[in-house]
Amino acid sequence: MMRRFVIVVSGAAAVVLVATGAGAATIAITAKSLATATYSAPVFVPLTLGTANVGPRVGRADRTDTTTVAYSQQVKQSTLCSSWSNASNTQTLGAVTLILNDNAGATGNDTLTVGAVPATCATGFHFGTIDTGSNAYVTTGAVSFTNSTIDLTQTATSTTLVLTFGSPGGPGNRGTVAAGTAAIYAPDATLQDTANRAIGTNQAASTSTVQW
Amino acid sequence: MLFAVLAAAGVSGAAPQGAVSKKLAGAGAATAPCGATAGGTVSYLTTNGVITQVTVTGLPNGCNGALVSLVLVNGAGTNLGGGGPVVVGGGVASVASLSANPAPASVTAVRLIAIGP
Repeated sequence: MMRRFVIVVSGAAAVVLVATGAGAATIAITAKSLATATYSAPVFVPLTLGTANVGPRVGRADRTDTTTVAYSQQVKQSTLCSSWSNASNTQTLGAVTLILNDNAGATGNDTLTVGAVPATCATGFHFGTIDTGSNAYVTTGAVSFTNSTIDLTQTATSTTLVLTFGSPGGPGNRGTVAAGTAAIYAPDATLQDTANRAIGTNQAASTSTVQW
Repeated sequence: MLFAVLAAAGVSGAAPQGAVSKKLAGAGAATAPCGATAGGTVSYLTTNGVITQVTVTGLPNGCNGALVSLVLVNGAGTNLGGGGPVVVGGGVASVASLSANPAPASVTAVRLIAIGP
């Protein structure tokens, strides 16, 4: 049977009218509006997050265990530590305190942050926060790792930071994680690359679900 | 009314058909967008050097409830991956399941299409 139908689109709704010899049917189409946009893609982002077990126990944050992040561009080093300059392709910062914060993440996971640093970083070290993907790396309070180190290496197109745990101390206790979820690194929003692009809210996730 | 399509086809039911358009007429205006989407900001979640999630923030409140699809393109406009639709909530659209996972360096633009609400 030959049928005629009409599609009517207005600013509020679209309706299909199907007219037959016996009558008419109406089919409502839910789309009411259409919007498009094209955005510039982020250029300066964290690319990778990884951890390595160097100390005695897998799944526990031990002295000499490492956390490594890599960025897609050369980081403007002074935005990490005020006295650093991109004139140097390597930097080492000792006497750092790394802190595993108990249940401090948005979903209750433990987080890793950089605490006290030498005075050469006059406004602190602007690393950001890692959600570890578990609430069991520390319990009953934060654990501070004194005498930790931070090492920076830059190439012409990238920067890598390695955080190495020092000696752990209370008030919290370290735990051993057998199964967790991926860790997620949220950089400090003040970080910039050498073209003064802010890193924004871009994040990097680990491939491993158990850290250190 | 902004535009209308008139068509005739030999169909036997209400299921979608390969209708043949016979006539197109109208004022040429588009349907109203949900808001000024150009003010959004794109961010990535990367895993092992590739993009695994794309988020657009700062979408207008009028877009909450809309269905959004995102496409990552390179400088030639080639589709490098994308996903959706996802529902906009709180001015945010986040696509975590991408058809491909390009490196950030290969992507020059992110295209958004919002339908509804």
